[in-house]
Amino acid sequence: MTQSSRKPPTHVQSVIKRFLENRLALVGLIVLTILVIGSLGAHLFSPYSYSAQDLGYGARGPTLKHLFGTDPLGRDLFTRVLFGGRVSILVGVAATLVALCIGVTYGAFSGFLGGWVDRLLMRVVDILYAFPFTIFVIILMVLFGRNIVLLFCAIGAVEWLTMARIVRSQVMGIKKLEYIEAAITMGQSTPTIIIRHIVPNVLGPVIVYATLTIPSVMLLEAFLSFLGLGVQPPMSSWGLLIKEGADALEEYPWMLIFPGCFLSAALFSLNVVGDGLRDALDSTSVKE
Amino acid sequence: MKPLLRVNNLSVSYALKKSMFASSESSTVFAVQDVSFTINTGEVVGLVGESGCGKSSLARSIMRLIEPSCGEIVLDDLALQKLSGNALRKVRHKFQMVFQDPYASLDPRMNSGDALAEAFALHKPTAGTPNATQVVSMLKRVGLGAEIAYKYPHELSGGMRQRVAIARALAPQPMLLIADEPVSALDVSVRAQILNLLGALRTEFNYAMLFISHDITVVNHIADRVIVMYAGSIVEAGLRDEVLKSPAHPYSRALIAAVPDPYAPFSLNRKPLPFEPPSLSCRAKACSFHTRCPFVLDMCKESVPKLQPFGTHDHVVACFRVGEI
Amino acid sequence: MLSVDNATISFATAQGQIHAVQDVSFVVQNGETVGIVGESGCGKSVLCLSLLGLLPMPPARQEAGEALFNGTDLYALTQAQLRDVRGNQIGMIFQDPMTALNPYMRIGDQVIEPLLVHKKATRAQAYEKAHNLLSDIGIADVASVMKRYPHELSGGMRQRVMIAMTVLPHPSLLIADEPTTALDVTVQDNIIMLLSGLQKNYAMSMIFVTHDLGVVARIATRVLVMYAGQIVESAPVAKLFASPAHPYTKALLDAMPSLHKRAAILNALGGMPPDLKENMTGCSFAPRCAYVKRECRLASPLLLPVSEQHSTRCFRVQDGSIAGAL
Repeated sequence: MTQSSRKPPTHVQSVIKRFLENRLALVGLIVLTILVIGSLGAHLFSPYSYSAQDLGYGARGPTLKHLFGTDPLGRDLFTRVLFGGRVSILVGVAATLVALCIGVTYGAFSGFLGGWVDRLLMRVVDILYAFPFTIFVIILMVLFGRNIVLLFCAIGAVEWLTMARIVRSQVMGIKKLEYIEAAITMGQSTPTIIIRHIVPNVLGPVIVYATLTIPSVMLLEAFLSFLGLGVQPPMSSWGLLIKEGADALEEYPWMLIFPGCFLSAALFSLNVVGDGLRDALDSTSVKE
Repeated sequence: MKPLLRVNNLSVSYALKKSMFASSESSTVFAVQDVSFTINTGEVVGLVGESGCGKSSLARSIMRLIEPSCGEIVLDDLALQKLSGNALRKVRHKFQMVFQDPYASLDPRMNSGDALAEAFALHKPTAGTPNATQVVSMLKRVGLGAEIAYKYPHELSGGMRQRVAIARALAPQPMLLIADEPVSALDVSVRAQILNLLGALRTEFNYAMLFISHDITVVNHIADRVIVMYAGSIVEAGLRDEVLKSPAHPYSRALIAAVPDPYAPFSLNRKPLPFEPPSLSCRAKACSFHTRCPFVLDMCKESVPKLQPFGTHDHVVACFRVGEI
Repeated sequence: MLSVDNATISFATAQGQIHAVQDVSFVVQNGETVGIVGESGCGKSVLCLSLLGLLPMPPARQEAGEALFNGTDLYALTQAQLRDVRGNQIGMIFQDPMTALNPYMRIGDQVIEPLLVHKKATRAQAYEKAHNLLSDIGIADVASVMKRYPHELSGGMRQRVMIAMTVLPHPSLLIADEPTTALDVTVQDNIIMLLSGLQKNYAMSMIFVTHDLGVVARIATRVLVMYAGQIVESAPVAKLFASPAHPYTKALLDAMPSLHKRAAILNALGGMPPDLKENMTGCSFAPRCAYVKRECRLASPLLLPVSEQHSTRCFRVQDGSIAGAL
């Protein structure tokens, strides 16, 4: 069709265009892609298993055979960093999804209904906020044993609170706008209004917040692993590797440096991508 | 002739939000107090008044965007105030609204074509999905080209947005159009275009219109009948020329005298109205205008004047001294 | 007292250069009120802000021009020198008194601030002067108003306070940028009378910017009509309304609904103002003009006098071919 080639760009197209014009965000996206592919395809890139030991080898610095060196048990650090990334990224994404599902539903519900429902729901959030997170996780771990699925849920259950607040305030702002009233006067039903007019307009901040939640979840997981509450050996995660590295910092500094670099790179690129998305989604920032 | 819209004794009140620590009793603000009027088929009624006089609250309560605290709204034999939920949604196509701010009344994530298609889809369920020709012909009728269908609100000028908003309101072929300050946010030349458009489309769609504005010159241009509101109540109503050429209420007079019109004689020595804003927080036992009125008597501070016929053609005025001043 | 000559200001944007003000020249005499009328984006606010050096540079750029105020070129002053002029010799009133007043400062403290900044009075003297002026301009219960915060006052009251604050240091020139646009007509009426009264009492000159021709008719002695960054017509107020000499002025007057003339259809001006990013050849109004001729599209007309004190930027009025038609 000749017509379609002259059609102005859709909203999504112009968002993508604006995102790609942001150099820093683009670099972040590339770094992130490399990290994700490397971690998910860990078994393809590494000849070793994450638990395979070469006891005679011991802890050695980086060599051609072991790019990132080995730990005191003779395990290949490169392999462990890649597999650790798999756990960290999985925890980050899964826990964020849990937070997203609970938070968006809860927040939209609370914001759109308003009144006493809203007040009740938000007081519940306030109470949960006040609950000390570390103690909550320790209790969970003690009661149900250390378990990676439980870890997702525990972190997700904490992270959704902020998401719910953000969505609620966005929805409350939007529902007063005239285009929502226009939809009401047109006779549009409430669920349709939420899906067609409210959700697309809330989506921007939510996506941005989600990309910023992933790194904070990864940090939480690192923190829990550091305390010994996270992933169980011989499985590894970036957080766990950093803990081990920190313990052996004086003798084997590479054990801290490599996983540290990977975690930092992931956090940095996620933050940059999140910022880039926020700017790209804000169509009003660039007037044509 | 039976009127299309009949509003009887409508009041809208807001309970002022009571702070948890405030000791005072909750106060109620009456935005609209005991307002009654009618609109006939195909007629344009202009509603003038200054900010805070309740004109927007009145419009929104007729649109059922806010709940009136009491009163009756009858549109084409339908008692609107009694409807709710699905029953209300089913009749909403009969009365539509054009909002003041064309920057806020269009969904920023939806292009003009989709916005119009949504309006068509809601009220022509039998015709199936609205086709592009329907949307394009509607755009054309409000003076926009087909290419506008692909444009998002931020790509359009204020005047173009207001045209899209008008097209969306007219898509379901309403009998009544409520226009709340539709040209206030626009520049002089664009304002004239939109006013002409609303006038021209009237012959085509045959809608009655409640046209709300703080600008009397605009109302003088477009309305057949004029209602003047002050502090939540109607103080004067009647045919356009009667109300605007020979206003009888002191407030209408002050309002008209204050309009800067380059063709009207004026004097910089005349005494303008004192500008204390009227208080809405209690249902006063006095004429709401008595604090600013140059003709105030003791009786004005003791009882509320009712709307009374004055002259001819349903000209009504709420003032004790209507004959004398 | 103020003589602006060939002011040209542009803005650098990602999409290119916007020529916001082009070749604007005018004078303001002692004690005179000059109204500047135009639609949004015509450059009237940019012009005013430039006189006080309030434009952010960059993106704004002063391409050319000078603005002689009592002999000194405002455009050549440093920010430090401008600070002495601002508030002290030239006062500015903004459209929105809510954002122009500091919400965390009591009215009294704000009103006297300009006097203290320019060291024109001690605190006690300033307070007394402010008190007197506020009661002069019809504010009841001044002592309590001065103790309040801006959000506790109505819009009209805030604008009065803003005006008092600006007038208190006795500036010789007052620039008012749409001071009544956000107000109701009865309040607007009040403010217009207040401003013209103060202007006479204090023997100030005033530049009054507005989009409303009616307002300008009430307050100005001379009117400049701006379109697309240029002055297209300059005339004494009575002449402008009685015999407009530019098709744009005529179109604006025709597009205005009035209480005294009523037409079934307003003579609306079609089209849109030109894109100021492009370099125009020819008259900027030519694409929308009802009287356009070939020559209008080829060369840009200059602002030339057609009668005493009455200038226009239109070839066809200048050569007399449509003078009667407008």
